[in-house]
Amino acid sequence: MKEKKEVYRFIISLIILGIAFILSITIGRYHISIEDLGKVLLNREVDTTTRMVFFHLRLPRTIMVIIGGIGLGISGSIYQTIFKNPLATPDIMGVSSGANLGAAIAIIFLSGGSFIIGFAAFLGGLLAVFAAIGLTNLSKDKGISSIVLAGIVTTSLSQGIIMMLKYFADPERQLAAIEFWSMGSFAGITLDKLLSILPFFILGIIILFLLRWQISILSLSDDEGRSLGVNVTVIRTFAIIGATLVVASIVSVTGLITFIGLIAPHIGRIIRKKNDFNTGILSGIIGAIILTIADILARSVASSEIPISILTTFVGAPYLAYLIVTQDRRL
Amino acid sequence: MLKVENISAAYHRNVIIKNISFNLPSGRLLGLLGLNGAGKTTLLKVIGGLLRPMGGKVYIEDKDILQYKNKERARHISFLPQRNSIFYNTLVLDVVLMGITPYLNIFSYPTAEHRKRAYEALKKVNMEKYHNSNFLHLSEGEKQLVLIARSLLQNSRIMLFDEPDSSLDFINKHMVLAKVREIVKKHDKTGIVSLHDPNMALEYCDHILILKDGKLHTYFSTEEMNKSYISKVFSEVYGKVEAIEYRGRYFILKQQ
Repeated sequence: MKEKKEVYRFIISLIILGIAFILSITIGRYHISIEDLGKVLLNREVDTTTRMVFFHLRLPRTIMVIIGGIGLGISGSIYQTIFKNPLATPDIMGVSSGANLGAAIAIIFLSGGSFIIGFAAFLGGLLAVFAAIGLTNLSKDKGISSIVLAGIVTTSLSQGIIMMLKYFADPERQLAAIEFWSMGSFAGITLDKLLSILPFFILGIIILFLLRWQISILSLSDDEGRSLGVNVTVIRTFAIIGATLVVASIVSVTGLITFIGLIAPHIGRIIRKKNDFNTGILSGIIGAIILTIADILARSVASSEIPISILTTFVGAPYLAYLIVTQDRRL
Repeated sequence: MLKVENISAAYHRNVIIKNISFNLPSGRLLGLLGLNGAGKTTLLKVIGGLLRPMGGKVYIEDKDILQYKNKERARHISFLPQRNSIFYNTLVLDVVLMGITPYLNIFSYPTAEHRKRAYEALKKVNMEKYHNSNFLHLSEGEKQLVLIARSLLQNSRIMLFDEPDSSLDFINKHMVLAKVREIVKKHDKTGIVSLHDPNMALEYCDHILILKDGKLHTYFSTEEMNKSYISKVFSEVYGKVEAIEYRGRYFILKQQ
């Protein structure tokens, strides 16, 4: 009986995501009707512009939004598990600030196109997290508090350098580009970009999937985990690396996306009333739904595109406020 | 058979326990007593392989526990910490299922067979009717029973319990310790339980080890004790106490 209910939950959330997917494909500056969408999918005769917009703009963008939501939701869930804290997000280890720094360096010194910016952001995100992991390993206890502190160190160091870069940046082009990057957007997504990050995204997800049981043990205290035979430090490091690959590959092409990694796992846990890897998957689907809706709004409510993090913040912050007031903290 | 040889341990160069040695055969429950800060938890952590000693060795069946890998060690020793750390909503059966971890490959996930065994373990502590309940909604006593079931699934010969009765009321204290004793006897385990209340140790344990200032003060079998011996050793640790005998059981009372 219980298992059936579980399956229904997943099916319903997938149906909602499917509806959001169709809306995302059809809504935009260039409208694609459902009828046209059907024709494209069935490979029938259809207007070339429609076909172009579908394959080169709408489809890659929508897939990237869904991948982004899934990745941020799952990694958020993993982080909240291993940090034993419902407010933990992948940003704790500095992946976002590192990526932001990488992007800023590329914008100023490499005056690069979007590929170079993406590559630098990806590298920056990974390096920041590796620096934090390295710093943790130099500490005596290697426990959660050391990890959090190490994350604060790399995050603030990245922020400091970013501030310096911004200060010296040309305000018209460079500063604007850095600011714009840090607000996130799916506007520039192309099929090439999507394909270039996909391998890293999938690698990260595979790592997290393979370690899913060991990661669930990390939700216990380190001593309790060790007494169950888990090599806590090693598993935690690999879980962080897996989640970082996922997040870095997403934000490297989209810029920073706030709040999805925080609220999607919350909703997942409220729905499932437990916290295992399936909750992580459900959190991913929920993240994808929220992000798809946010992206539809981003490109349809105003005459120009609105950065995605403005919308996710306006959804996320009130939700968090609501949680503070109503829920018990053990979500 | 558990053999502890000359164990000394420290936290950040702060020596907590010094030169502790004792043997404990299987089928026996040892009560570990001592005042706050005497080193009970530290000793348990060393025996459980969670804290590397400064000196000395712990042997299980003549093998040094430091030679075991994490997973192997967890199949020989289970450790129930003073405060459980289940933080998120978790089903009772899933909590017990964690006990199968030492038998899993790093990439694998518990199977239906493992779930069946977890259910059997819950039965042994009479908690099977709660298998689908939320662990966080149980009473403290019930939580301890579930964690004992997890240790049972771990199927280790040595079972360590760090103050399992510390947050329990009177009835639950006795219920949990009776269960600990029953399991040690029935499944021929070697059990060590650290306790605050000497009377609980006198009632449920086969041996008592008292730590004082990080050193082994006394180690004796409760089968061979008498009133004057009990009042003597406990007075040395707890200040003046008097032992009384009632229907073949011994208790100590603090003298004013």
